[in-house]
Amino acid sequence: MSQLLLRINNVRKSYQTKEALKGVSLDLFEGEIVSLLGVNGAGKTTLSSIIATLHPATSGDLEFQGKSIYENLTAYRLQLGFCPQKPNLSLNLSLQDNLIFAGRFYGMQEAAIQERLQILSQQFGLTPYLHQKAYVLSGGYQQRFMIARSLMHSPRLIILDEPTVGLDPHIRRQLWDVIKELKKNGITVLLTTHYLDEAEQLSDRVCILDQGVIKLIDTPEKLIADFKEKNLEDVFVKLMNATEQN
Amino acid sequence: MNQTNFYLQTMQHLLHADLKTFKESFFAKTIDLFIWVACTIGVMGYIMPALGLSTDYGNFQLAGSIASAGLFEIFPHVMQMVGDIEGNNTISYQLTLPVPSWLILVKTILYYAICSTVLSIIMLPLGKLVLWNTFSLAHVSLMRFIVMIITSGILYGAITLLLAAWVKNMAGIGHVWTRCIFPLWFLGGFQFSWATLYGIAPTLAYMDLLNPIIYVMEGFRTALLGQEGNLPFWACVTVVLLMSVGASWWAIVQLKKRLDFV
Repeated sequence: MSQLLLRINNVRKSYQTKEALKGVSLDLFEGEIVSLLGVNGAGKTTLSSIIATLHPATSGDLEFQGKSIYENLTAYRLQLGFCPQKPNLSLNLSLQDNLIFAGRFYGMQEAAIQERLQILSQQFGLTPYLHQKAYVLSGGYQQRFMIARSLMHSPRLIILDEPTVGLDPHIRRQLWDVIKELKKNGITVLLTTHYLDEAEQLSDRVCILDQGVIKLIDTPEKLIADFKEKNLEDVFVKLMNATEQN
Repeated sequence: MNQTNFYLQTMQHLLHADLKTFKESFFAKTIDLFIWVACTIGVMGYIMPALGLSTDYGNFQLAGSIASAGLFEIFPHVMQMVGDIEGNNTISYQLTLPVPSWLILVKTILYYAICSTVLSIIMLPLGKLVLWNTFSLAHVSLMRFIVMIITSGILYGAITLLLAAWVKNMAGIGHVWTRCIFPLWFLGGFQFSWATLYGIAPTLAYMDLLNPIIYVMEGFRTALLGQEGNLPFWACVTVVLLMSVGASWWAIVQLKKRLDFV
């Protein structure tokens, strides 16, 4: 069994009129891919943005290697990569500058930045575009670039919030390979997605959220077997229908 | 590296990245400023004296124009920031970087302050070019000019952040100019000194002391034309700095509520 990396402990998030998360607890282990699934408004993006420290939890705690992340936020953020749903690049900087600055923001030395830049631009097929401004890239390349930027400082945990949404099928498949590669390199991936086939292909475990509550956490194979269905999508539909009937 | 040094270094890199973008628009902004200076100071320095205005009025207006250069940058900067919050959202990337989130907002104030400072600095040679012999450099105190340029830049940066927190969305951006920047500027002594206002309407003059721009205008006039007839220079600097701190603090509190950051 891999070591526990992040413990999400009874996290709640309330907005003025809505409770988006109602006491979510989840453990993430080193080197695994966990997919967060759920319908729109289930709380996936809220949970991932809390783990990414973009928003605070209303209550509950997150422990990274046994210590609350809020005790030393900087140390936690240094181990974390966050790729939000919508690309938020510095559009007026070149791709290369975007990556170089991403390294500098995390205190990397110039030599290490150059080395990492070479590796990532080759891995993600970004080399021909390095000197172009970010806004000229197509959606698929912007997404690849976003993942590359979040990996510049070699984080141990990466959060990918719907990284393949709106992409062509072949680009989605290319990004799947990238995500599998992350796992091979020992990086823990928290993947938020709407695509059940994606979750089934990539995940070690899936976590189904509904109305701010975790309904199920298990391996895709175990869920398919337990529900006696052909694939994860059928499991999800069955579960959601049962929830609606209740 | 200790944590404070790490934060300072990250701030430096963040500013560097922002300034690379500013550099690209610098030439175009300089042309805009030249047009602004040539029109306002040219008219006030050469045409209006024919209608009975003092021949020194061009110099008086130059100080006001330098104070205004940074102030006029507030509007595009607010637009840029609100546009970013609503659209590209680079601020959310910055808010997940390994520095305290409030430092990102301090960095934003500093960036806007630097932009305003640079643009105000180039106004002086531009103004001299337009006014030529009419404007003597004999009364200019370079040290006071630099102090005022830096303090006013910080104030404008703080006001930018405050207004960006106040504007709900891009649809409301037009109100920033009409309801905030224009009255601050026009009642802030662009065309009159505080002493003149006091001579006409003392109550209004005291009320105008609540407007931070009056201190910037008076400070620049002292730096360029001498202390006589203006509010005490160091009092202006102190008030501008205090108002900057207050505006920055309030802006950070408001943006924390709006962006809901850690």
